[in-house]
Amino acid sequence: MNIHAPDPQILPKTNIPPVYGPIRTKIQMTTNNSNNTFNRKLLPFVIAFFIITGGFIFFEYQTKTSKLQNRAKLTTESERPIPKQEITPIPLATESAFINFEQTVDRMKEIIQNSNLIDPSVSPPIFELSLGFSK
Amino acid sequence: MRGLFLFFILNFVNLLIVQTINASSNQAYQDYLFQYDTYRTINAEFQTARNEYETFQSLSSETAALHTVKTMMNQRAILLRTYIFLLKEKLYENQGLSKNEISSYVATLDSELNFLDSQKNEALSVNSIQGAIDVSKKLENHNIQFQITIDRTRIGLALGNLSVLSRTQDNAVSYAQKFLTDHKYAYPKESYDKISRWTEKIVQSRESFIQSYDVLRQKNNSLNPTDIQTLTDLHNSLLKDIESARSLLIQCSSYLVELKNALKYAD
Repeated sequence: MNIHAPDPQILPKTNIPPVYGPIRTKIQMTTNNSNNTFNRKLLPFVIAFFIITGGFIFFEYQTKTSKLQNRAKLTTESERPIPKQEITPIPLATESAFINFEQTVDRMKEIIQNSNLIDPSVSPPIFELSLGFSK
Repeated sequence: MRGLFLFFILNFVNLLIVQTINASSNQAYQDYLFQYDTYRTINAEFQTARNEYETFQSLSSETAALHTVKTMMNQRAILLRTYIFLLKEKLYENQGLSKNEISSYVATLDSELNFLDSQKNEALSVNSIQGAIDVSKKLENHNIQFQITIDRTRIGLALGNLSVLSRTQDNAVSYAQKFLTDHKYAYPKESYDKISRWTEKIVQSRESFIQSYDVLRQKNNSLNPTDIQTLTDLHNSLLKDIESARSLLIQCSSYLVELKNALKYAD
């Protein structure tokens, strides 16, 4: 037995063996502002935002899809002969201008028919020229 | 801010001027009515005094007749002056007459005012019945000229009113023409041709109105009869012609209504 040989590194029996399980440590958020926590009152609004946005995206998608379908339909239908129909479009500006014209004509007709050309207030006075003395 | 303030001030002044113009015509008319009433009363007093003088031939009745005849002649001149002032105010208010036309009418009215001023002064300085008869004779001799001036002015005012109506129609015709130019392509060609035919009729009707208006103006300017009866006949004939000219405007209005309907039911 070699006396100079190093002692085997045997842990003393009193030592508690290490436990190699999951180590749970509570991590604390260290922020300067303690009020920055998520406000639960905002939750309905956030949900509503997501629903609206989602709905909008869905609607856009649907519209585009239906447009594409319609275009596809039109291209197939246009191959068939359709009787040509000519419709004269009357734009909105024409309609409002016509209403103005109509009102102008009606007003003018009324004025021309109903106004007095001869002012009765300028009827001349009736006066006697001769003094009527017999001599 | 300053500009806005200035704008409101100018508008206010403008409103005041408009009100003054209307008020001056109304005021002149009220003055005329008042002087007419006064003349009637004074004339009745004069006739009573004249009849008394004619019956009794007394000195007191002569004095009373002289006093009342002077007052009556003075009041007669005042009445005619007030009437001329009324005509002048009406001329200034008339929107259908040009400045030159108004100046021409006012000039002849002013010469009548001068005559009436001298008539008024002479009436007040009369000191006998015969003197009163002589002064009154001047008015009798001048009467035809006076009546011509009055009738010319009255016809002129009626022509001014007719011109206002014509201008109203002109605006409607211009509007129609602009509408047709701007919206020519909004209507099919067949309808547009039909519409154009109405437009031609409107233009023809307008031209015949303008011709008859010019004839009327010339007739009124050359109004120069030698007696009252002829003047009355000419005056009535001119009034009839003015009504005929108005009927041309009415006819043109009916064409415009047809045009409106053609545009409305164009397909």
